Amino acid sequence: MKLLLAPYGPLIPVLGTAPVCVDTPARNATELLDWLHAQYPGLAPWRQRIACAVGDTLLSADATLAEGAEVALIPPVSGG
Amino acid sequence: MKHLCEHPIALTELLQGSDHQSGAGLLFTGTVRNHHAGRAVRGMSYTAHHALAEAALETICRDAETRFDIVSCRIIHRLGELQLGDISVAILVHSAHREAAYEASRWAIETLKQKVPIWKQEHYVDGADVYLDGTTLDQAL
Repeated sequence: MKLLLAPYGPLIPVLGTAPVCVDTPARNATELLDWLHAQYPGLAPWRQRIACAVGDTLLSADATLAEGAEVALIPPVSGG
Repeated sequence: MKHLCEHPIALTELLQGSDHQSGAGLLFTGTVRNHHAGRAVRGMSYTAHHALAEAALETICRDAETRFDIVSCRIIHRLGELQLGDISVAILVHSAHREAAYEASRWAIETLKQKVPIWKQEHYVDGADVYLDGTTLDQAL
């Protein structure tokens, strides 16, 4: 399915600025991240450190993704 | 209430107004310093996932008011390009007595650093730009 990705923070130099259009076989958030890690080796430092959100909702591991959804990729946070 | 701002944080405005329940008002500010891990810093950029960050900061304020014996907690975090000495975050806590204000303020900044989708990128004097490593959210997959 086609998705629009919105990387944040240190993920931007790896994935580019939003929107990043991808065509992926992933059906849920976990599968999306697994697929992204395979496609972008530069994501290795963030293995199991990225949260996903659609709108203002953080996704659970098995959250189903809808065609055309914009998925925010949330790396470790560093505010303050 | 908005917790994120793109302009310098107006402390005078933040401090205006008072309630008659509070005997203590504690203001914490985080500022951009000129060094990090032995490297000379010339500035900092902050970005955020606006919707998630606003919601997380609001939750921290309300949780602080529940967890501690305080009257109110306000947090404002700046985004964009900051220069040395600029204020990046301000936390204002009012309480009847100072002990609770100190505890709540400390808890609020530590929780902010762990929970709020904001990212800092340091700009070094040598020309390098580096996103600092941060805290992984509990919801990471």
